[in-house]
Amino acid sequence: MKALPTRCLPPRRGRQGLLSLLLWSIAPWVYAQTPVFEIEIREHLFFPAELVIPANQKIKLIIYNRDDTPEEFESYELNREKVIVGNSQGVVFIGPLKPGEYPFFGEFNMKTALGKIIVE
Amino acid sequence: MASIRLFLTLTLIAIIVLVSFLSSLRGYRQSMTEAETLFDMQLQEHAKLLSLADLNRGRVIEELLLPRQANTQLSTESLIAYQVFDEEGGLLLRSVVAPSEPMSPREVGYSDRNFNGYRWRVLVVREANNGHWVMVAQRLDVRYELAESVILEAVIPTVLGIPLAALLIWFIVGYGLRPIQQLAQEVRSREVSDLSPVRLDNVPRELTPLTVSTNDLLRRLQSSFSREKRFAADAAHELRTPISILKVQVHNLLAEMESPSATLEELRQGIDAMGHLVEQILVLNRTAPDQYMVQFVPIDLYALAQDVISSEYEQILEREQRFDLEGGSAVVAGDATALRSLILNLIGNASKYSPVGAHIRMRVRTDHEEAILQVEDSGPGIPESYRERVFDRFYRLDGDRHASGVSGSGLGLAIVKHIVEMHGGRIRLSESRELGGLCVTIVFKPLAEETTKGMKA
Amino acid sequence: MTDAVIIVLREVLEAMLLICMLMASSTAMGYRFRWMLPALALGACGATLYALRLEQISLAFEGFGQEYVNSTLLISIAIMLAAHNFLAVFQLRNLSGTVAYGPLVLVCIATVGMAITREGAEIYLYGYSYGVLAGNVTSIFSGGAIGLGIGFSMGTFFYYGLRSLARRQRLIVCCAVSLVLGASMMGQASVYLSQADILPYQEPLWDSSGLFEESSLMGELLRAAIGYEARPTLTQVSLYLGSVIVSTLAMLAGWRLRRAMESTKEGEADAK
Repeated sequence: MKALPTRCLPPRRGRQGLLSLLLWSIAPWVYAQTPVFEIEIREHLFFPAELVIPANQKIKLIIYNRDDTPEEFESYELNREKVIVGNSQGVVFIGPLKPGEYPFFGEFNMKTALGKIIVE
Repeated sequence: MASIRLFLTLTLIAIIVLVSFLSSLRGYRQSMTEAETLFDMQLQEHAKLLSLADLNRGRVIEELLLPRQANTQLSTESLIAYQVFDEEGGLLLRSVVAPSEPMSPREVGYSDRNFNGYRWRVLVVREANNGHWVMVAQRLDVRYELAESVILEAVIPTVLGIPLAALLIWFIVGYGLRPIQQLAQEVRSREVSDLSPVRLDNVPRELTPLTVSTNDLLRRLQSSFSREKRFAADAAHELRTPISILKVQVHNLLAEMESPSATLEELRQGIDAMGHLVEQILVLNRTAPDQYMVQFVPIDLYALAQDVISSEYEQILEREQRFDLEGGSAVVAGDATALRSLILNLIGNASKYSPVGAHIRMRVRTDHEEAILQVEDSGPGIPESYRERVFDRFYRLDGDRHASGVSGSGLGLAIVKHIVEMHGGRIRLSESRELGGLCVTIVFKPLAEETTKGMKA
Repeated sequence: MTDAVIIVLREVLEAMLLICMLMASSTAMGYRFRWMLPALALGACGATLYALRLEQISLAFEGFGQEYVNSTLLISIAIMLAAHNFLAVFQLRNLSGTVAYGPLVLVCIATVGMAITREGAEIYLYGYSYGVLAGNVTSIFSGGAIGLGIGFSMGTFFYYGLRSLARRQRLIVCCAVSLVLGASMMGQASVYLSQADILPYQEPLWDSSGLFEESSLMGELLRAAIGYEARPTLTQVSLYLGSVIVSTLAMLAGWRLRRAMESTKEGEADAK
């Protein structure tokens, strides 16, 4: 019965996954080294709508919501989802990412609040 | 446990909701796409007009190309911004709301851009004749709002209609299931002894097999019940003749014998007991409430009791018991034979199950127009837990080993109960407060009510 | 309007699946829905409180308060679902016998209360600030009603589908659904944990967005039902599978415990 957990994981990468899980969960010191980027929400629009960030590096993204209404920053490609209350701010960590385009949107205003992160 | 009505209502509403909401969602999306195409075509028209204009460098003009509308709020918001650039990128013309910088990179076609704090739909056209870049833009949020306000009009009735539909479905399903409720009610509300067929008007086709088989079952039950009843009565009746022949023959035999034989005397007593039992069975069947068809007449219980006692006094004297009859005249509507049987059984029981030298008291009185007959004795009484069961046929306390050592048919109290029920009265067993033994109280229906009923019957 | 439909539908669908599964399992185990009212009340209070205090919560924990709360709620729900499976299997062997309802009722109240807290807060936030404050009443509320209607209808079919099964089978299917829902909660929790940088960012293991886009109706359905993610990471998949294993072990433990209790009670004759 003890052997069950490892047996059910994908065969080759299972142990690695568990290891990294353990390692990363006890390593909050990474906060300090990450570059910070900012996005603003005004009138249900993202400024800038296109944010360029460096490849293969983790960044900290601060989203300022200048509207009175809340917004949910969401991206399927980035696997991120965060509600930002009106006149407040929110933080998410992103990456390290491979070069490419990663669209994001405001879930509460899917028609207009659109943008993308361009990784170079 | 689960309710059919709830199930039908919920699933029907769910189906309606799913179908109508999904289709209106689809309709909404399609209409929105249609509207977008229309708006895009409008942009194209504007671009075409602009490309035809003769232009000087750096002009800013009011949105002349648009017809002014009465609704100022919408007309200013729905304005179209435009810019015209020459081949080198110099601004030739722009509208007031358009920025000085190009609204879009010089790529022919439609795109969505952010500027002036809004998101815009931009169309870029390259004029082949003069190489001019024409950029026409329209606010996306305004486009959506315009299109949506129109399309929502079609969606809202569907949404608002659902609660109404739900209410209607709830009532209609309830109405449709009413025959089932009626059937259940009909079966539930009937008396235990009522085996008449279930009668319902307009039985729906789905329920017909159920009512038919229920009625069939009831009919079979009814016929087997009456067969059983008739059998007992018939058997008892048939036994009467051979028993009376036996009685006569034993009597003759006793007369022929010179010296009295103890065995023969026991035989005679046995035959008498058997005769008594058969008579009791016959009375029991005759007085069964569903069998009895006799017109009631006014009868004075007190007089009847006196009459019965005088005929039974022998037995009481034999056991050296003391018997009192108290009270006065109390008239009930009833059947004389049955009531005589009733009193006979009550006195017989009291005398039989009370020891030698016991005290028995019968009281007849009228209370609130109800005639009350009460028989008390100083015998052992009946424990409270047995007071229901003693009315069962052939039930005897402690079987045959009754403390009194006398044998009985076990039918006495069953007969009493039959007769009381037949007269619409109530019977209660309790402990006699004064004499310490059993106290049987029978309350008859008020006279007036009973006679009028009797007249009708 | 479609925004409102999708936002409301996604939250309602997830909650409905959970509630309907617990309702069906309650009927299978023979206790009524007396957990329902307390659970809904708890959820409503929790959701309102969460929505009203969202700003303070968000700013707490270096700006990751939301992630902490959400992942805590999700992991707790997953644990509760595993507990449900343990108790359900524990009861599975004596469906006709007397059942100790107390723990099950508590599990139901906790699970539904926490789920509604999470889902309700978002609906409240969206509906209140966009519908009531911003004045898009018709658009937001008709969209919300459509989302709600579709969610409830699907829940109804799901519930009556489960009800149509015999009690034993119903309970088994409920356990399976609970297992998947719990795993999906763990998968979602891992997203929040990675967002707050507690778990590392990883390259997605695969990308099935070509097959089912997450934003599509089918994608939303799958997401609510099995925790579908078009681009899952290794940790996400590991946590998902881990939850499946834990839940399975809980069921095994329930089965073993029951059997042990039965064999001690009924002596060795029962062992065979």
